[in-house]
Amino acid sequence: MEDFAAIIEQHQDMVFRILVRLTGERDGMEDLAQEVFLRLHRALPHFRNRAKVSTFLYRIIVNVVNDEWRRRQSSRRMVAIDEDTQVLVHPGAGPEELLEKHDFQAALEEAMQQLPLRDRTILTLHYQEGRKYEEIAAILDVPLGTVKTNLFRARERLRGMMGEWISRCRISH
Amino acid sequence: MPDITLNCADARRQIRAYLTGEACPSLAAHLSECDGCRLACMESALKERPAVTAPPRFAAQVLAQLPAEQPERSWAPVAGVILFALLGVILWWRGDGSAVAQALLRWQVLSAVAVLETGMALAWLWRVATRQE
Repeated sequence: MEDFAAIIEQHQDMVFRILVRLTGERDGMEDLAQEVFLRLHRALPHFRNRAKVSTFLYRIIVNVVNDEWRRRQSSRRMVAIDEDTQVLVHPGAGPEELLEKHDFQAALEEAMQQLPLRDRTILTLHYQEGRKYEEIAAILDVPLGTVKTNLFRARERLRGMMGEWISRCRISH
Repeated sequence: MPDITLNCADARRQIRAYLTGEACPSLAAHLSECDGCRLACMESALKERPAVTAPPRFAAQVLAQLPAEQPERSWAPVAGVILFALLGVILWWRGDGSAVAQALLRWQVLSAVAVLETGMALAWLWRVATRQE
């Protein structure tokens, strides 16, 4: 039990910041974070390499977000931009408000939510968490080539969206 | 063509200020034209970690939801008793009345009673111990 408390203390901030990036929300993350650690606790007896808890946690976080997306989709609190995209509806600043504020960071977070969950995860793990391609491939259980392709595609799509956003900002000012 | 009022080196120096919300009109103009600087700005924003931390007592809340730890169960004693009983049945079934077989059977019966008594005593002790907690 003490061991597990130490694991929580060590990884809790990382879990919260990834959940925030993947969902685009700041409120209500506590329940999801708790679910992440409860799943980790259930899995620990079968988990031999304690040194790689963080890798295992990343995988659990993605699964929890995916399950949450499905749950909300079934209760129709979700909007899918296209078949592949998983977007959580949340009360954030609207595009107009972001234009007014010229807030690049917030606009980027909004644009991220237009990407499929897997692409958001790859971008988050690569840039925010500084994970290597090989680690991301292991976390998502996909081939290395898939990680590289998805990262390139997501980055290009995001760059296009941010280009449009900057153009709109310039027109509005 | 990138905005000529700002070159790429100057633009990249302004990115951090731009990301903190500072108004940088010439940078915005540059970013709308320059793919490389827009990518650099985007990557800097992606590397920014959301300023969020776990609430106080989060660990305690998680620990409170964990199921109570169960004592480890071992099947070894159960398997031992079953094997013991099986041996007794075989001896009884195939016993040829020889002195050795009779002695083994007697030993089996006495041992079985001893095991049963010990088991009951241990169960009683366990009940008393858990009641006190």
